[in-house]
Amino acid sequence: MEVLVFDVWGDFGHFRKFYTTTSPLTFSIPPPTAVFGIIGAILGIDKKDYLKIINAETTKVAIEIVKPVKKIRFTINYIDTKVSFSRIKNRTPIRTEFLKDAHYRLYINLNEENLFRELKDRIKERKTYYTVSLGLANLIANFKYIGQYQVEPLDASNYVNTVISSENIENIEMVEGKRYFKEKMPVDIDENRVVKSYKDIVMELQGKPIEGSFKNVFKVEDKVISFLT
Amino acid sequence: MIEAVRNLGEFVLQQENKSEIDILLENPNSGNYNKVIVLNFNKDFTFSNITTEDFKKDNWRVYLYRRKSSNGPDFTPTARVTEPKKTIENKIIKWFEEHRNENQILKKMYEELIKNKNDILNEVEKRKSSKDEGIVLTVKIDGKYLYEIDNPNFKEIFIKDFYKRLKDTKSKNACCSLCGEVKDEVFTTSEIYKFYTLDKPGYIAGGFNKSNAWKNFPVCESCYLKVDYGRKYIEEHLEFNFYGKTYYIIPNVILNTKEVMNEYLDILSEAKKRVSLKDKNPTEDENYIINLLKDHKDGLCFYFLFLKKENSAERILLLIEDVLPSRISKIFKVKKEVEKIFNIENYNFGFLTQFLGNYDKIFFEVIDKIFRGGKLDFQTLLQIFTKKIRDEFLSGNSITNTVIYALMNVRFFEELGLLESKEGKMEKTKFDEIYEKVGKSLNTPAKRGIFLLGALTQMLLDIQWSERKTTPFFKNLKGLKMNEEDIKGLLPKVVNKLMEYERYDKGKQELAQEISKNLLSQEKFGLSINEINFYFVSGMALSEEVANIIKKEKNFEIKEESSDVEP
Repeated sequence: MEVLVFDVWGDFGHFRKFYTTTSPLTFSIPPPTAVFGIIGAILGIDKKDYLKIINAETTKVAIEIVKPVKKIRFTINYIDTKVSFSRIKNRTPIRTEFLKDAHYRLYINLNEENLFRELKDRIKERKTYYTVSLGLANLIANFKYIGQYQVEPLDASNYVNTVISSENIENIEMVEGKRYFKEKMPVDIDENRVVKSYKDIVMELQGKPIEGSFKNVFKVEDKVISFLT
Repeated sequence: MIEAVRNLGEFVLQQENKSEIDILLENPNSGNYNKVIVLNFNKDFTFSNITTEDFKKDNWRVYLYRRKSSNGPDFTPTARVTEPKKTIENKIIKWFEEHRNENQILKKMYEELIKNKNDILNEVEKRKSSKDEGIVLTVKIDGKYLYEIDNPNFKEIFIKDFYKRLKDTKSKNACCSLCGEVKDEVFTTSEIYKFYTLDKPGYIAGGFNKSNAWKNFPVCESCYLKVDYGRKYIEEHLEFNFYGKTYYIIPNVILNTKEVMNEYLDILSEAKKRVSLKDKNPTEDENYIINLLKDHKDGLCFYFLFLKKENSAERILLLIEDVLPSRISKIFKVKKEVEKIFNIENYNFGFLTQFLGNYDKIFFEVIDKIFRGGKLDFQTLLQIFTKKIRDEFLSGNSITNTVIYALMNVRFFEELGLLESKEGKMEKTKFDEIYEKVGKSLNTPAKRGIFLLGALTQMLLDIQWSERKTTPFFKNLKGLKMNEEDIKGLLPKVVNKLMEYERYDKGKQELAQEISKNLLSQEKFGLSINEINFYFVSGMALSEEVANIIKKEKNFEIKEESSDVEP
């Protein structure tokens, strides 16, 4: 199997935690469901259709944190939709949490060969159909092709460079100075926008490797990665 | 975060073995509700009389209470009294009115209440002695509390009503977002935390359609009960106060090993003990929490949730997500170091809130960085610190303590690595010990010169005060808004004044030489007005220590009455 490796980054990002509305918090990484959207945007597949083609069954996603996760909060003015949805009568200030200087490396495999090739070509040429953003439309993102590499399955590994689902962790060796974090996030969604699977994802928030014993991991060049889907 | 609340609820429930109704009930006494007014009904459901009793603190479930909405009735005919008329009409009678068609007994009770409404109202008003007194109003039949009555079964009615409201938007055979399993029925609700609400269509992602809201945050019944109980447990046992700001600590397990789970259990049982001790020593919260959390392994981490409750809404002011025990331990170590340097007993966050109390946004930014790491903007902090110092100065108060507190805070931030510091190579001087106290930022000749000039100026002010009981030289300090030129012009003025008082001894001469050497070695200071004045007041506050150094070196006598001078 081969993976396409590319970076996405931006000044700000916001991947809303699903259990917050009036005080929106953000996940520390783009959930795989958001990565499906980024791929769909680059390929130019319509919002209504992309999840039929790009989903956990057809797409493998691994996420590496490149720059330490930083979160800041500032207030943005939402439209108050309580009275009227179409006519703006009021605004409501909402204190929102954002990712600052977010930068991730994505390892992607699409089982549809033509689509995979097209995705690679587009990323290499920095062409995108819809603008790529980090969670919200106005948080525009940049992206850069890193390479296409052969993936080698490993029986086990004592470290992993990407975030990892807790089901693939046998043990973690806690190292001082590292910032470990675990949170549950959606990893698969159907075309009706019903989440099909949520997983506990463990990460090191500064982008450092996690040591311990891990299964279902793969070697890509000098890195060990774990797919979330 | 929400899954950590759910997991905590699950963990506690496994140990406590509670029934569904016991999980869902709420304690109506949220503080000072110590009196209960009871509307008594006879065995035949006719209205009997009104009695008053003490609130049953240890057995509050008998009242069968859970809040529903601010205007309408709660889930049972038990309510907290706001205004007697409104509570009786909108909460109690309205509850019976809504349920009167379901049961003949309830219909009869409703009619009885209507018949005796005026008497009840008068009696309740009479019994509510003061406006601020918290009172719970409830109903008893034949001496039995709502929880104990089987006919009509108020518990069943409660559960039916509760789930009906809870499962407003639901679906079959879908994945629960909290346990991750596919369940027969899932629903979504804003009954967990009020920072998830569906009251505006704009909040419903994927089409703004309320009937599809369950897709956003699907929860199964079992997870709901766990998260509901977890939330209550946290509110009861893990609520802390941070100098006027309430926050909750939610432990989260990263590594599910036996050792980590034992530590998790330790924290919960310690938290339980704390609640019983809380009343005796409420100010110990902060030390308590640091001590409690610092020694654990990093397989656990903590959420610090600062929540603001506004009427029925809840806003997250700050969620610090990945606080590891090792970080808390480091904070504790740095705190001890600061205490040692400044020779005090208890450096705490109170020193920080003195300055940041009115700057909510920055306050939370600073708290976030303390617990999570990162970098703070030194200039912003200085601006806030000098503003407070300036205010004290202009209102004629002593600034020494305020400056020392600011220095302690700077030192605390430096030791935690929150401030960018470029350590310049400085030549060794006899003042190094005191420079060290001010911190790593005192790293250029100009800063050191300003600092020492502050000390020399304070010495002059002390002399003025001791000789004239007034300090006219204060006006030269320009309300602590001095710029580079002002500082350069201040030294000759101070020296001149000291000569006039005939107190320009060798020690002070040496100090003046050190100041001019430092000030002259930098053509441009490159410092903001806040920085200049901050280092200046630092010198003023530590002038006694500077004087001691000179004294120690040369054994020159510098006699000053006091460093605290009234301007």
